[in-house]
Amino acid sequence: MSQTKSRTLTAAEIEAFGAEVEALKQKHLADVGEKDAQYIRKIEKAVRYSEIAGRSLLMAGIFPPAFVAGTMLLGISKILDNMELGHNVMHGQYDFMQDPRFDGQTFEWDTWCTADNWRYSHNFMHHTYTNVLGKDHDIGYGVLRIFPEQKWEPRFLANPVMATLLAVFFENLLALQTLETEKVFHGEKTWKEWFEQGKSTFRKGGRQMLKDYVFFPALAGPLFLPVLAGNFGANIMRNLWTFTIIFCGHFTEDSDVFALETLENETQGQWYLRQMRGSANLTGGKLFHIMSGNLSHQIEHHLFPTVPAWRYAAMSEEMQVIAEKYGQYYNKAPLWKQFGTVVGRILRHSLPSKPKAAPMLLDKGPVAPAPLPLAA
Amino acid sequence: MSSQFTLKPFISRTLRAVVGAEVIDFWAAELGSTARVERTIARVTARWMETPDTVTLVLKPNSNFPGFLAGQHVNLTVEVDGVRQTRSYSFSEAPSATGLIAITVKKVPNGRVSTHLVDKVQVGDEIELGRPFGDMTLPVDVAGSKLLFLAAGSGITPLMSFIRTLAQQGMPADVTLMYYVRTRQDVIFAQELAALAEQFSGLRVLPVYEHEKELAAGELSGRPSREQFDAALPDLAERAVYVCGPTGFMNAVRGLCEGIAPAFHAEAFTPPVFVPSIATGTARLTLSKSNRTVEVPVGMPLLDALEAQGIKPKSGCRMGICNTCACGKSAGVTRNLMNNEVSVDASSSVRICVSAAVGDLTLDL
Repeated sequence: MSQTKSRTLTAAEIEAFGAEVEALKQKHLADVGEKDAQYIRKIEKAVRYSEIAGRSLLMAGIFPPAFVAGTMLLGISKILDNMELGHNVMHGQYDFMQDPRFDGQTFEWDTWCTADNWRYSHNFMHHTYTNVLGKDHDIGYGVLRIFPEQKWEPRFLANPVMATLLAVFFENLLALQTLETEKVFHGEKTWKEWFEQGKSTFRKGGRQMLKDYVFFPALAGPLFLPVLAGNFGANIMRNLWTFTIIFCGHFTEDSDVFALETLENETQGQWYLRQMRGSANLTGGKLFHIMSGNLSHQIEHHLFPTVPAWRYAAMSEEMQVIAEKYGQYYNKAPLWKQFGTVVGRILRHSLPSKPKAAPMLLDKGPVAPAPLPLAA
Repeated sequence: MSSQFTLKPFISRTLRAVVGAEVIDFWAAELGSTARVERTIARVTARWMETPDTVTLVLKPNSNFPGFLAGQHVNLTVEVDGVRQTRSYSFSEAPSATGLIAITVKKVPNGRVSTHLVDKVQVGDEIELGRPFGDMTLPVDVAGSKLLFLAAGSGITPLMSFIRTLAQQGMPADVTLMYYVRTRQDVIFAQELAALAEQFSGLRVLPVYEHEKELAAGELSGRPSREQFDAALPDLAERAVYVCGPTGFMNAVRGLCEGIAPAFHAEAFTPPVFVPSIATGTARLTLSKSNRTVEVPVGMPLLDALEAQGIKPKSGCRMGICNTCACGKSAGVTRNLMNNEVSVDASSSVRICVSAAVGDLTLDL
């Protein structure tokens, strides 16, 4: 029995739940068209204009107000490019436009991680194995212990330090995480293989550094220092913001983790339920949602990754009705609260801890397997 | 070599490498220019109606446009209701030193792009172009030769490009045009054709109406037939034939010219009609790159069959011409619905918009 706040559903109820969620998705997908095309083009414009404004202001960055404004604008541009534009486009949400600029398969974004790696590690791995222990590499990103179900090792005493490092250098460490570096330490991969796989990432990282730390500073001539500092600051700003939003997605106090057996013959209804129970929302205004790339609607994003994200706010209203109907806890709270619980987890589980219950296993029907022992 | 010449390519190459072609294109568009790094964008500089349902659009392409030969066509992409759609259209004007090009579009019933082009596109709008392609072109030197142009409906467009080119050269060849339409008001370029026929003795224009009761001198009626050809074309054996129109028209006149005309060049304008084949049922289609298998109806164009299942392969003109949808076939047999040819080679390239499964097969998708 789990500690979850949600009512345990029978297999039949899970299927009924799944059917209602599917119907909601189809309803919105059918509406996708001109409105969405115009929306994403506006976002693209915001990314470009804030970028050029930020970079131009940094050219005059010797003046403190220009430096601050320039860094902020460039940071905003990178955040929008990373979240509302890049992440959503790469999920294929705007493929319907048949526009090469918004093609999920070819889009490339302004960060170290290559789009191809992201498509594999995020679109495929993370979204398929969301919150399944041992399969979802996003759990702890290979360096942190977030859930008590993760086996404790002495290295996790450094949780707070690692978390801070991860936050500040999120862009870079995330790129390394998509290379599954921890597998080399466990002997599952050789350094040679890691290097081969990493070539495209190193090339991208090199190009990113050339752009932000050589090319644009060089353009400023003798006034290169504010440009260099501002570009660095903007990258850090994006790292900290994305880390905060992303870590609230699945690591809050009330997020459920699931046993490996969950994946066997998982039905659509069970998949939807796992996605909802493993995700958490952040409440806020329209601007907050855009700046978070609508990951503030993590639940809707995990249920409907291919629906244009700006629609999640409306879908959230309908999802809460469905969740209530089936007695499922709908995890939503303001940012400071959710992030507070994430910090709590990072601190608490840096020390040895035992899970209070077995990882979730949803009812698979009349032929359900026996309950699992506690050891993960 | 002065530094002026090496500076510009160095700057543009560096900019492209650092900033990216998409960003450069974005700013060019924001500044209202049609210039792009690689893409060909054209601005509509004029438009007029040729008939109540046919428009001519004059376009000024950017510097990436490589030029074209009379008789060729080009993929044209416009956005309709948020979705970019691509269709193929022939150049209707002769190549010109001004660099302006023209296409003439007839509204197809329920045609998304043709309706948009005829009803919605205005002067000043931007349209994206592909590369010109097409093998139906005139020989470089046609002086003294005899030609027969057979057009049906909007098929007149590439042939009009031929006629206008020849007119620029003073009509060096002996040309007969037989233009098949339903009624008199469906004749596109009617006035210009009449004027050119008046001006050049070497040009004979024969409109052929399906539904007109009263005919003037030089007008014919009915569909292509042996009697019609024998009466109108006594010297068919001396004429190189160029045909453009719907697939059915093309097949009909091909039969009439076979064995008589010394040369036959044709271009079909419509996609093949999906006729449910006698062998009904489904075939197993394996998509090797996505690692999945689907069941598709035998005889249905593979592109349509895949789209019906929610899979969206790349596509363009959907008529077997532009090659955008071409993908590798690593096993199995397909039928080309344009010419009914069966492709038995285990590995070959298949245009999925006009090919159908003839049994289980594997595609590199």
